[in-house]
Amino acid sequence: MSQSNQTNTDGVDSRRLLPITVTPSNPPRRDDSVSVTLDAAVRSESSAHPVVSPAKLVGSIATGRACCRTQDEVATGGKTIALVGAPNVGKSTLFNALTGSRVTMGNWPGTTVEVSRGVWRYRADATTCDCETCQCEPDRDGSTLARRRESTIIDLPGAYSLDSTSPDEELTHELVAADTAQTPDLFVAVVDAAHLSRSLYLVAELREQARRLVVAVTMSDVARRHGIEVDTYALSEALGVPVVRVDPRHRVGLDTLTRVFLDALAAPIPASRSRLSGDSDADERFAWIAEAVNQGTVYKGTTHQQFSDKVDRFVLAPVVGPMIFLGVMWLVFQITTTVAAPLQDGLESIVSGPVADAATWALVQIGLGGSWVEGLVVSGLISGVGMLLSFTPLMALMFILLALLEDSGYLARAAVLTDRVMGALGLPGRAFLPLVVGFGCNVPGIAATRVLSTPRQRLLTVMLIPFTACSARLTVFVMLGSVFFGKWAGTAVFVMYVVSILLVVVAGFALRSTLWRSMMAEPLVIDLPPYQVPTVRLTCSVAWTRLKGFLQTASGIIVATVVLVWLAQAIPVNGGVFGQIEVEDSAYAWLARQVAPLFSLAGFGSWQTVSALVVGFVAKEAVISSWGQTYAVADPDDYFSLGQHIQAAFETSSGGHTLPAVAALMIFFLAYTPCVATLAAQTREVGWKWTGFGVVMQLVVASVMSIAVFQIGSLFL
Amino acid sequence: MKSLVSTLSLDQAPIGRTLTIAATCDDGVVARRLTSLGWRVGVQIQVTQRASGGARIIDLNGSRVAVSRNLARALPVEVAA
Repeated sequence: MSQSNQTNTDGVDSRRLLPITVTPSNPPRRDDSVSVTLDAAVRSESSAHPVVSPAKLVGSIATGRACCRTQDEVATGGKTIALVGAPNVGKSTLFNALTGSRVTMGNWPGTTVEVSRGVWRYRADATTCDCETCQCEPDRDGSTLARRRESTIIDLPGAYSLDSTSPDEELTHELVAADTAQTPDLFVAVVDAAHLSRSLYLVAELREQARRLVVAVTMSDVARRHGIEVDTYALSEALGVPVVRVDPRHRVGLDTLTRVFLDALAAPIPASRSRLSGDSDADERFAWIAEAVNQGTVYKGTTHQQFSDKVDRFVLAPVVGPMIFLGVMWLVFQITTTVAAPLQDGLESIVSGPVADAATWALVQIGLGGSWVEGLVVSGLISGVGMLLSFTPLMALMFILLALLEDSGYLARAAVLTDRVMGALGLPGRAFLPLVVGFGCNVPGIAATRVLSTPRQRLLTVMLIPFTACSARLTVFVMLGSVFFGKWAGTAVFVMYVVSILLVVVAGFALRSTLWRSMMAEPLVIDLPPYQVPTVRLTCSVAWTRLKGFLQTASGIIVATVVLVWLAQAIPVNGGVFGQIEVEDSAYAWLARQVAPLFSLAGFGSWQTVSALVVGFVAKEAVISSWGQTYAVADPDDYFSLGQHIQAAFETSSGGHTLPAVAALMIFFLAYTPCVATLAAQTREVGWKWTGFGVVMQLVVASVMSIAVFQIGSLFL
Repeated sequence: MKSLVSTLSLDQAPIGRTLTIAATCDDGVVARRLTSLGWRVGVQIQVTQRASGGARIIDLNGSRVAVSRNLARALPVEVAA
């Protein structure tokens, strides 16, 4: 985008460009390089006249030479810029717009606060050049000299103020207040033009510290619809810091922002705002904000009945609202199950079909056909990768749906609608979404906990999701139900769902009354952002960043587990060749036999059942086919013949109390670790320690419940 | 002429009438959260809607904030009689 276009779409008048970046705290310095560039920038925008002699525009398109100095080099290189702002002001959108997909997400050292870091690449105008023959990179139209530069941008979590009520706000507070090596060189406060007075509270607090600060005003289009016009020049004067209007959703204003960043970084650190005495902290800040808003905004006409209000008449209405909500949840559930399923199957069949065949063919060609190497590559590595890939479309869809729900503004409404029901369970309203999704598949359900606002709520919900009966477990319930309960199969499956919901509720209460006793049910106070049409670019970029994060964590865990199980099934214990034995003779079966007696209290202490549990840990979808393999049944979908084998095994292991033993096994399937992909997703969200805690908790719950069901049931049946 | 003002809790406040915030709540965390959203004594607000589940949607400095019914019971506002 050319700079002259930029000026028009940005709504920044070129006459005002200079004063915007030169404020009382950033006074004009006519005699240094910064003001030269500012003048040059203004001139090039208004007249597009070349500002550098054409004689100098000779040279390479490389990164330029050290003789061409840019503004940020005037001080030092390697700057860090931190984005701060309240939730829902477009902070992360701006971050994505500035950094593209060059993003890493992770916890801030020593905290549970997740921050995104990205590389901001920009072209900095060369302010001075003392080369004999200049080799700076000329601009596209040959008007300026520039060098490509990089800085780090950190996207700090959303915070309304520096009062540390949460770990997220605590982190922002520490970074602003303390002078450490980690203190960013420049803070960019992202403020919402439509809700300026609220957004400026953080700015008021930041101005009380001696920090370089730039204010980026977003949502100007929404404000305009409310009849509010922000005068960036006047606001800049009132706040004492540069103010830039940006629209990161449409990538407008980013060039201006880049120039202002460079000016601010090159300028000395401005003095902090001197406080008016008398009033309390908050009152003084509000008075200062009121004055700034008064000066910096113009009301054009009265606020008309807003579009969002009209939509909310339906969306939040007593009967219609919950119905719309259930409709949206149904849609999310359908998309993450029925729509994702063919995509998952397709990807998996490509991997288990052509890819596996090609690998087998290649191994045969080099003389390794039928060897353990083929087993390791095809049954271990490739099937592990296939499993990982099969989750990719599901997760991509989930992340796209999340981004759409968040960006459109609907998620905040959903939180209001579900607050009362979820509040009765001691959970925030927003926890409804991850739990609903969990009934389709736990893995995207865990990913959906990102909608929760505090790390503690997120952790609690991540611990509870494995108790939601996912659709993979349903296949096992249906099979066991139809084999053992006949016409009561449907009832048996329904009972499993009821037990699943009860487990979520009871485990939630148990965790909150033991581990997180201080976690009170927080009363709902939530900002309802105006509805907006989500942008494709933003949705995809957010979804891609999250998907990448999932794949990075999950790939290792899933592939390693599948390979480990293959290895256990390949190691012979009763003689035979490594990789070419029946499962029954493998270390896997030996281990299952050692563990089996532990389950005799629950009535299913046979090694075949225990090995099905291990397979279920890898993937519940594989349980039935693995049972078929164990009992050497030709078609595992033929429940009748498979059922006879399983029935016989259960009669032996339960001492005649078959039904209680089957019920106990179904309960165990419901409550223990859902699958390795769930563990991968949990590790991604809450770290391996909490994931480990979750595994132990679920095993204990599953064991206690299944033993109780069998012991009590066998008294009657 | 002396204007009559009555104080009532936010959940009792009529929809669409201009109200004046009379106090903030006692809970420190919630009070700070409300303050950061612009809730302070003397500011004029309106209840725009009663949402499903009893939450009140208020117009606070031009933006919409949802407050649960239980919290609304604890927030006093003034309404001109």
